[in-house]
Amino acid sequence: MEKFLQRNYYQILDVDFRASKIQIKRAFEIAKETYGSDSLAAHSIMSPEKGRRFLSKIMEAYRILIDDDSRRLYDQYLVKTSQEFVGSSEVGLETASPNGQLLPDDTPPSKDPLPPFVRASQLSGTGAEKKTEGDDTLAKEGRYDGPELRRIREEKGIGIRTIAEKTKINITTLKFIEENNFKLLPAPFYVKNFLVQYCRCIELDPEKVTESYMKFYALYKEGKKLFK
Amino acid sequence: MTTQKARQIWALGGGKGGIGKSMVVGGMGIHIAQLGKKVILADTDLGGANLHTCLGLPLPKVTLDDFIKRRVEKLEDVVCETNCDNLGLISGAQEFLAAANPKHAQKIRLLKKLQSLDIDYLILDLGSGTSFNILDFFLISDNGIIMMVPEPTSVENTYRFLKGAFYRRLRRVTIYREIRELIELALDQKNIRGIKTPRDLVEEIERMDKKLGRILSEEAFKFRPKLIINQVRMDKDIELGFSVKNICSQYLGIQLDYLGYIYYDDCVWQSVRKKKHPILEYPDSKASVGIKMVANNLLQNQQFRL
Repeated sequence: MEKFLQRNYYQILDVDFRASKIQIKRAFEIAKETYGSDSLAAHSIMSPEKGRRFLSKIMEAYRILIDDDSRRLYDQYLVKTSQEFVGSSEVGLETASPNGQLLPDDTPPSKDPLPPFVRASQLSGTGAEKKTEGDDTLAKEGRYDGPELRRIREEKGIGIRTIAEKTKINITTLKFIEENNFKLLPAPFYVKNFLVQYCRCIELDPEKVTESYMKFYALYKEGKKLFK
Repeated sequence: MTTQKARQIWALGGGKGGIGKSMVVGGMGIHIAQLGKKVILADTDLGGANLHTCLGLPLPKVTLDDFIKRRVEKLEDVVCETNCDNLGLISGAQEFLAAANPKHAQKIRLLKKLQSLDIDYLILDLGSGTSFNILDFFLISDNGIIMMVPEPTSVENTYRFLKGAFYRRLRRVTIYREIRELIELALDQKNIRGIKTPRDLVEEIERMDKKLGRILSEEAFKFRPKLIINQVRMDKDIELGFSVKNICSQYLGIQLDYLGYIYYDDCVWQSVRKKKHPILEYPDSKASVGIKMVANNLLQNQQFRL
């Protein structure tokens, strides 16, 4: 319960990071219905007082996410403060001040070139054509991205279908993971869970892989903003 | 690589009795059999086995009881034919109640045999309640489905069922005594640690032991029960599914898939009176359409969307 109040607004509304306005609105309506005072779904499981606390947090989340400007600021804030995404900044990310405040609008955008693994094709509609250098092997010092995972999997002779069967993860999602298709992947929480199960199947250390992979995921989000 | 059978086990349960579980199991079975798949329905309802009546069959001569008591050696021998092609029925034990709790060994033997039946789909009618037997059948299935009706009592029992199943699942995957004790504690709603929900439990364990906490939260993530709402009368009842799903993920920490809803329909009791299944008697009725929608969503492994 306490953790609910610490979750981010997307988690609170139970929507994806890429959710459209319509999806956000719909999620809000469901949540309002769910935690409202005469809710059939909530009555036997939580006290009215707890329901009200949930509801006020949900209102707050909705107000921020439904407005383009405040949502953009919030996204920036999330990327900059989220410790689990951004670890050590060896790949050229500016270290962010993790003081947990909403950043002012005029924050100068980072001038760093995009990291090599953020391919231009994945940044839809930007027309960006930044050339990247040194896009060779990533996994040297324990850096795992999608194609690298795939290479390891194939090396071990494990079919993607086998993994899908074992883990019950949708095969398309697995492919997205292997293609670094961050744009179409679900929220980080889920991706992390999928990765852990994936690693089990190909006998990699889940901790190392998720740490590395989620960094790429975070960088993609950061990179996307640079083009806006 | 080891087994090539595409067999799937579905189990339909629900906290409350008399909400139409057997009716829906029967309907789903008929629908899938009509699609050309080999289906067997098994009535594991301990208290009131009456799936045969839902299908319009007389009391079967051989039942699950004969298998459990080893009067019949092969499980295949207790499968009765039904009025539909491709559809078989294993009728519930009539005296099962007397033997209320089958011994562990008996249960394991039954589960193994059920899993090795040479068919496409096995659908279990679990009956109501949250006894260990029911939860165990629910947990071995590929799709554990829980059904409820839009009434406070049923909603309440749904949460109780989900929590019970979740704790039992966690209990099975852990060998640590402390964790098991914590789970026991969590089952007592007024426990001192203030563990009210599965989410609280996982967080509490995480505080005690990070690594173990992570293993358990992965286990929690793999537990994906499905929800069907039966006897829907208005749009708000349909929305209830989304609300319950929301509470499960946000508050309980259980990922629930909403499969769909089935309308309340007078044609159901009309056909029950005639001892025929509505899906055969009134295939285009609202209830039948709902049953088919839910079954199709399960077949395609997808959720209901508005």
